[in-house]
Amino acid sequence: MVHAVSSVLTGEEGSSIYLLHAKYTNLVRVNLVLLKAFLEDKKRRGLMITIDRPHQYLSHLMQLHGVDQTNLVFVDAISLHSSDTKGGEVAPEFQMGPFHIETLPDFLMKHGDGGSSFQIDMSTIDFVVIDNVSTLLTYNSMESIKRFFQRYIEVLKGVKSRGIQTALVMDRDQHTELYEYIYGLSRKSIELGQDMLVKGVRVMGVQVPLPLKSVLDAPASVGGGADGLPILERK
Amino acid sequence: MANVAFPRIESGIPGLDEMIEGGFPFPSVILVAGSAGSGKTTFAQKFLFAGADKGEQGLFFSTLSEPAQWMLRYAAQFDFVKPEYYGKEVIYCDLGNLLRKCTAEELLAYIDQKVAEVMPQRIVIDPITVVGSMMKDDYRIFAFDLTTRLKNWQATTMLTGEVHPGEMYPAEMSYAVDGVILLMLSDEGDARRKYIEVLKMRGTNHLTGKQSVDITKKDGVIVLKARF
Repeated sequence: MVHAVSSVLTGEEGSSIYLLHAKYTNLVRVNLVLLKAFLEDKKRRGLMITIDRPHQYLSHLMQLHGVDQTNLVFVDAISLHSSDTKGGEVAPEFQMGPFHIETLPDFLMKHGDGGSSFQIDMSTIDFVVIDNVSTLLTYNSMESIKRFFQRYIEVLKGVKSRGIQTALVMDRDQHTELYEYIYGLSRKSIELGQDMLVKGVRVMGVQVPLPLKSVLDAPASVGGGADGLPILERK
Repeated sequence: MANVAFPRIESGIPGLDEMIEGGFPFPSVILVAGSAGSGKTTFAQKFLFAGADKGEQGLFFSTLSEPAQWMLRYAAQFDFVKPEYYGKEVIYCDLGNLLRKCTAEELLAYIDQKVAEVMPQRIVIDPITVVGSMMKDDYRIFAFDLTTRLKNWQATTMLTGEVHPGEMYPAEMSYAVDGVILLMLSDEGDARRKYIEVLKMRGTNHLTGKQSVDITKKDGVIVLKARF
């Protein structure tokens, strides 16, 4: 499954948004697959913004499932409000988060100037994943979220010419308005079935043939293997 | 701020979802409390197997009430229990030996690790109350930390709780969880009748009051009005 998802994250020139539709019960799994695809399959450097749970959970999952985190930076927007005692590496906290999300893009840029306690150099970032974008609705109005995306896109345009790929996973059926808004911003949308296989790909709203058809049609296999995370693959 | 409905997952218990606006919140932690023989373990098993039928991963932690070996032997009588799911869609983990010697933090770390390995969408801990009686550390703090972690792992967890005579539900755990469901055996003349009551379900306009239930080979625990 990692290769299948990786094959649709083609990384066109310039910054772009990929929107993935998956059932809400699979969001964590899909995020894990995305991270593996970007970090290992494509050897990119990335930023993970956590809103739904403190970053230690994803970090733990990555460690357990053998996903190298060396080239991943976390920004945690929820820890301050989570009262969670789970241990792990400390990550920079977005102090305003998860509220006032429209201020996050400038927070990211401000912390690349060397003048604060931590640094995120956005010019070295190839991808961004948010866990998960639907949760923003719990803490922000739809208008705030739109302002966030508008500012986020402006910021990304100014960062680097190679571009930053932003991958967002959400359940279209749970949050239709937000999905449709992001769909309008995204270059590519990818539909994942309950079985976590890629069911459809649209580029700028137009359905395209699924790439690497033999890979996508191959049944998931039990146990470990080069293709994917053992626990996520099942006959 | 606009109202934001959160996702729900079906309980798998016929007749229950209609009482709780379509299912348990996802993620959440639900306490199912009842006396011996009220059907808690059967309830929990059905919750997991119903999820397995939908392709959802389940993880069952047994504590110190009944070893998995025997629990599964009795469970095999139910039609909804499909042995092909064992070890795959439904994974069993026995905490009994660990509980004899660990601290609260060690137990949390073990549960954390197991959940991270399996990545379940549905979790059962059966029963949770025995953990409290063995805990050297503060149980209330443990209950808080456990429920926080379980929800952050993005699963709906069912904790079963044994109640003692005169007790309605295990108090310390009831504050930490998102939902409390009571399974009751009522002595009525010559018979003991079974009932279910949703006492608490956060974020849900749930039905209140006792509803009759039965336990059948086909479906396990069912809310009787579901038959009509």
